[in-house]
Amino acid sequence: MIKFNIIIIFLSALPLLGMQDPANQIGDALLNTLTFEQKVSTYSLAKSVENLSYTSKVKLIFNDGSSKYYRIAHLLETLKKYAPSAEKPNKLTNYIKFHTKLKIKEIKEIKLFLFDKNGEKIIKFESDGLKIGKRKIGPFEVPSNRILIASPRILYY
Amino acid sequence: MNRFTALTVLIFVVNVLTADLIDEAKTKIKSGDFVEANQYISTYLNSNPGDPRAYTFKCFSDIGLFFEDTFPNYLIDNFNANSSRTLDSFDYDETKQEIEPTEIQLISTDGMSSIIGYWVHYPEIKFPSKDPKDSYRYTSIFDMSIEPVNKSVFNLNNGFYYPTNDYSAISFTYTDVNPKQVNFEIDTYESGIIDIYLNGTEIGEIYDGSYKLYRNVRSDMYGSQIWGTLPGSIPLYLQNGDKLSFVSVPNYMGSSSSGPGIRPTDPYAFSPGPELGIAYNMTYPDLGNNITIDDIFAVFKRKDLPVRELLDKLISNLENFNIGDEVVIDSQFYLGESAETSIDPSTGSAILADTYDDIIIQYWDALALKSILGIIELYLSVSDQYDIGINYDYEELSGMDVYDSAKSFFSVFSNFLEANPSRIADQLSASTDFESTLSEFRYSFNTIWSRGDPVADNADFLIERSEYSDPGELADLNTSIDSLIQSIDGFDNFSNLTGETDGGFQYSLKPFIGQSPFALKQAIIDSEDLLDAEGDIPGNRQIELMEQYGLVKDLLPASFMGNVLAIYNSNGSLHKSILVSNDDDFNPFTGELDRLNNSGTGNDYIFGSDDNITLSYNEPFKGTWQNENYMTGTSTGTFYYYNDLLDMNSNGTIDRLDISNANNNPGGADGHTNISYPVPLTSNSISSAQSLFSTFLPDSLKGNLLVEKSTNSGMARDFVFFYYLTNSDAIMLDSGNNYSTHRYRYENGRDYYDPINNSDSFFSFIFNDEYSGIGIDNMSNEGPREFILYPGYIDLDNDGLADAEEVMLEIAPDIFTGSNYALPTSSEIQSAIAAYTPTEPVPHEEPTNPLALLDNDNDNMPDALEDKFGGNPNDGADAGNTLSVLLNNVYTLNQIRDLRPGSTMIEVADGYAQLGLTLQQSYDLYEWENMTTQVTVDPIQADSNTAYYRFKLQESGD
Repeated sequence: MIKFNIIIIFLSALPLLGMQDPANQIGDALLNTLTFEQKVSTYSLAKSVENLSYTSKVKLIFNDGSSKYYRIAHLLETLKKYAPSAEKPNKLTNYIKFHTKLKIKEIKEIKLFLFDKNGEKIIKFESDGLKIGKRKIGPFEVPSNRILIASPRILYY
Repeated sequence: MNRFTALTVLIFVVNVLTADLIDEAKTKIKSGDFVEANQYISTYLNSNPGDPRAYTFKCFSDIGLFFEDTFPNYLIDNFNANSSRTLDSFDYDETKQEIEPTEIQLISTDGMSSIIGYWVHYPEIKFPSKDPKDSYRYTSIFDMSIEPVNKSVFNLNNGFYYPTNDYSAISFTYTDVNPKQVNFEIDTYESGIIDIYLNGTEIGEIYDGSYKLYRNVRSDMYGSQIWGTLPGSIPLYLQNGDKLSFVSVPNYMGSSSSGPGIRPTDPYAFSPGPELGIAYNMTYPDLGNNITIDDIFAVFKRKDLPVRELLDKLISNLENFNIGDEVVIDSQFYLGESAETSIDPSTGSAILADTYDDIIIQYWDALALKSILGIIELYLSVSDQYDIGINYDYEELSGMDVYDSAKSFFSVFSNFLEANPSRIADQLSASTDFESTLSEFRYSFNTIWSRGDPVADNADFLIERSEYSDPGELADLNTSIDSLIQSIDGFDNFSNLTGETDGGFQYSLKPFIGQSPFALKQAIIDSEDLLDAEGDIPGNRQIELMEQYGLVKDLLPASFMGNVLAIYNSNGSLHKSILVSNDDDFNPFTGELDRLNNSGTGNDYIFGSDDNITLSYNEPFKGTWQNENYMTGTSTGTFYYYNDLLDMNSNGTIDRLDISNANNNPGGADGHTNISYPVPLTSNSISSAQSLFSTFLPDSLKGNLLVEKSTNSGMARDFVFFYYLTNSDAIMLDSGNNYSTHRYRYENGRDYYDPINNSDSFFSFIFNDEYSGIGIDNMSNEGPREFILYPGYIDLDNDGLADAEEVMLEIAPDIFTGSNYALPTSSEIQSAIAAYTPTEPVPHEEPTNPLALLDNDNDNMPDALEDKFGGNPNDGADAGNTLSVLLNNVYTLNQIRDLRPGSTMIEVADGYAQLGLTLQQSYDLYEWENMTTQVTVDPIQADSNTAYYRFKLQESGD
């Protein structure tokens, strides 16, 4: 009976530990290396980027040093099963909300850290800058009803 | 005050007063009153002609007028849009109260009379939607038409209607005058899936033991849906004329034996009863009569129709900007009158309007906008050159799937995609318009790039250089624009346009924006002609067609198969000579080399498995390669490619054999080695060799007889005749008297003799002169074979029968001489051709009889018969198939009478048949006399399914 309970506890803890349980598997090999919490946070950040800006790509930097640009739409589709666990609103949304209330039009070099339940850093979100009410088209900027998020990057620990 | 001062004051006063008109116009624009706004602006412009500020706000009012007035009225006047509802739908008055939908309580039928949910709808709109309020504006514009679709029936059993298969349907039309809640009882003791449609639109489903409604409903528990359990009732709220359909879906029954049953609790509300086997699940806007697809598209692209008219107005407004002009659009105007009325990009909080800067529009901004609008208008005008003459008609549109090819479609819709001469004006000026627009585009954006920030802190220019841009981005943009300008009347590298590394090819826009519209219809027909048996266009054919139409040039081949690739390092040393004998998965547009990029099926890879190679066209037979290796970085070099049948190292042996032998791999296998070229390869040297090689290559093999024979003396009698009957059909007869027919494709000296199953297999001809040479089968290890090729009507063995005729009769012409079975020489063939007198019709020429039936593949079986009786009018070898059907499976009425020995047939007349039989005898087969009296079965009444009777005489032993 004790052995049975240990197995149950172990299986229940797998998602929290980010182990590769079948339910945590997705089609993209690189994304599959992420822990459950990293996947949830990635979905949440991608959703914010989609809602807040016209930015279509984000660079993911994995903990082995490899990196790849992903389309926001692809990330949302691939990670959609983590949507129910995603934080609403997340740290990025709250960050922008705070600055817009202060009428700050531009923020340079954003660095936001996301933590797991144990307080360990799991993600760093970086951007060269944010501009309220702007959109980047090619090398130019035009007025917009959204926010310019310049060169968004997500670094995994 | 002197007169001058008075005049100055007067002008000042007029300007001040009229300046207020612009503020009034802005207020009207914000309130959605664009007509008034335009009037204010017009009045202002009377006193201040050319004022860019007025024209700036005129852009807003013109756009507003388009949406509120021009466009909706065009829909009303031309597309049967409902007048009042359409004008309401396009009314942009922000303060206007939205029309609320009607909500009706849906009450349970379980005796508790609880509220299940609400039916949410607009009584005048038949089209159900997920959120009627949000979709009211567009769903109310047009009345909807619905169409019945025939399906399998529902069967009535114990009071319920059950689907009979996966494609069953039943429909009910609500005929009560007053609307009311109507319930449908569902028997789901068996599992099943059935979709529910209201007026042609899916509104819900029955899924095993539950149901779900998801249009026109709301519930406290499920938002815009209602869920319920079954067996039980599904509540709906119907109006007079509503059509409700239940349609089973594939695997609808699941593991059950009969699926769910359906019945209305009030069957008398549906008169005259259910329509069995009918689904109303097709719904589309009713645009009125005599509308074509062309009419619909014209709204968006035809000159002087609403969209083009708006574009012209906006461009005209922006032309009033001059250098030095500056118009400020304050943030209060474009965001809102008061604070906290602005955007909410998901943060949940309003953003203060003064968070935003005012927008300054200078001449350069206006010019940039004008050029962008000009490019959009140009695109619309060029795309409007073609007719799309298909009626917006259900019968016509739903019948489109009968056309299995573009050509069969064009044979009915002959004007489809034909250029329309009445619209040629747009096309005539397209190239000059595009060039001037691109020049303006480049001019404006280059100035904007170097323009500094506005003086005011709280203002931005409409378009600004992004501080997050790279310094080189402007140069890239200019390169792209220059490339487009260059391509208007000529060619330019596609990589200049995209900024990406590619196959080095050039492109041109001239075919599209030249003086004449691009022959789109003919291009589609030509493309279809190139389809292979698998329905694909071979890569090389695709390139040839694109080159033929002037769209691209300087493309590397679609595949290097059959070529030698000589790869040189950047220092000029030869890296490898690779014989490419299998498909290399090369993409000549991107330059990406797939299989040769890695260790493929042989040793024919260029570098190692960690490489990523791109090839780019440089000049004929020459290119550059670029290799990305994540360990060693980027390396580059040049390469040459040439036909592997050439002897570029001048050692008397074709290079294909040199490389194969060097790898101890005779025949056609892949391989590589470094063969030494005594004279360095150049484009010219390869071109000269190829030119010599191609001197005697025929354009077509049709009508010719090929005789090939092993060069191996031990196989002297190993010969094969191929008669190329058409451009795709050939007959083979070999020395073992094996006779067969097959499809083939001839291209640039190669006979692809199995294009359907193995497009990589081919026989290459190397002509020594016009009639003879050696050839190599790339799938064989046997080595070269000698061949002769001559017209099939020649009688080389002088037996009075053309040699091709003999082959078709499965007779091998006796053309060989000596014990070694030597082939006739070229001079003998030449003499025979010179001596030939065409006294007889040339075999298999096109029929000269003007009344002859069309026979596309010259197999003497008319196309019409082949089409009807299982043949292929493009297959010259299948006449026997059709003949067999005609002889064995097609009967006349008289033949039907004699289908069985001893039978005769009696026709039914007016529902009765007179059956009689009398046995007769004869001694001379001329005179007959009755042996018995008539045996009569008289009369018998035929049932509704019987058209004929017959007698069968019992045969001995029966």
